[in-house]
Amino acid sequence: MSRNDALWADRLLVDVRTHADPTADDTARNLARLERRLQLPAPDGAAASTTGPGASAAALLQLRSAATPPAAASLAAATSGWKSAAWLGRWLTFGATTALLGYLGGRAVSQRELAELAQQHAQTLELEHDRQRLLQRQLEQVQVLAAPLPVPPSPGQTRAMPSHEPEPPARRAPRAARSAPPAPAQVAKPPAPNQQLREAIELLRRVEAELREGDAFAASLLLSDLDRTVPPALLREERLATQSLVACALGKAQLAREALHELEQLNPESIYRTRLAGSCADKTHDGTSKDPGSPH
Amino acid sequence: MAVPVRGATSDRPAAAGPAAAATGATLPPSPLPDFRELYATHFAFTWRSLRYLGVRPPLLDDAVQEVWVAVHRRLGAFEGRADIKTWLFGIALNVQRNLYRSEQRRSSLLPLSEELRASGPDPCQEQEGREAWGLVMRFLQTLDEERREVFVASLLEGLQPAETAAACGLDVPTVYLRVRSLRRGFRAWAAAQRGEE
Repeated sequence: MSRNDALWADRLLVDVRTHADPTADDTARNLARLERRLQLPAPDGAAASTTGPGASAAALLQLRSAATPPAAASLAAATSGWKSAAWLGRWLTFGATTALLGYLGGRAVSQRELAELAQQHAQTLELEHDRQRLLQRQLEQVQVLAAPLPVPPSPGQTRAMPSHEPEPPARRAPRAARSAPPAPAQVAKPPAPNQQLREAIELLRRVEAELREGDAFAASLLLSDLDRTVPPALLREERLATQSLVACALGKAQLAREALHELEQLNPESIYRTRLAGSCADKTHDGTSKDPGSPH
Repeated sequence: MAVPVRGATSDRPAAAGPAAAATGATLPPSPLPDFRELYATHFAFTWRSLRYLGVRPPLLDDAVQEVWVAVHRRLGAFEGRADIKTWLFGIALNVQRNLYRSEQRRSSLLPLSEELRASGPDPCQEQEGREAWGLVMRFLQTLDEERREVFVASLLEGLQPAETAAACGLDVPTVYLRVRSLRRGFRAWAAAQRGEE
């Protein structure tokens, strides 16, 4: 998404107000109804009226303006010179005031910008704290599921203590064993394949939970975490299917279709294909559903 | 929003003048806002809020009436602890929720739709507003109730996070996270809509 797209989206939130605002008729009509229903007393200095919205609107306007009687016209003509001087004086005052307000406003804006930056920074920190807590919870869950580590011998125990069997190979995750590359020995503490698998499964579960709760954006963030932390080939079908569902929830039909296409290329008989039947990815551009058996 | 009601109030309650403060007596309570001034200032805010929250045009007049009847009834008990817009938004939320529940019971709830409005003096601006309205309302339909309320309060009506939290019954950190998520989600969604056009 480009910066222009972001600015355009932000502008939408402002433009929407021109369509959402009430008209003057809406305002006056509802005020008239309120006056009748609540029997509101007449406003100060205005004639009470209950004959309709137009009269109520007139009552409101009377609060703000006073009619100039015809006799004032002659008086205005007689004092035109003074009025011109007063008009010039007002413009000079307006100019000076505008300059002062501009200076003060510039200072205020910069202070406001600083406050907004501080607020955004606080929000970023809060989001980062939440990410850390999420990762910590995931690590704790993986530790619970992982095979028990050998118990180190306590001081004083003999060397005849039977050693624990080495950690069994990752037979519970044959797909991971085929797809994940073996970790080189010289790399400092690479994650075990079964640990990565458990992390991936946990993240996918959380993605589905967020989708069920209606937070597609949080689901997309978790998918990004998944892409960052586990190899691309791990649980590829599941990830493509989930990616397609998340894209549909975000309104990105094209991305959803691309993920579905890749899934079908990877495994035409994938069981996840039926999960996507009827989704936005399963529809052609004219909105009709695709036949799962038809070629692309 | 729970506001204790002390009974019917007049249109403008009596306000103590500065003489009482000058004599060293305890500061009088700040004068309550005048109902008509409140209406003139904030009617558009309540109208927009109800529209954003999904109240259909045929029911909008009744809904906004309910809001302002409640405002009139509770104005005497308004203690000024919350911002006036927070208070009004909370009332509008309650009215919308009650209306939604009764609509569900009558099974007459219709999906949100763009309605035609009389064009204003600036047709170009009106057209932009209508397009923005369509996009924003479609996005709102993808949100659950809680996120929709936060989106309306914070991103459409500009309430501060603390005000949004008070109006929607959330805590402030949750509002921060929701607003950030919603802003980014809306930008991505809108950009995707634009890319598909």
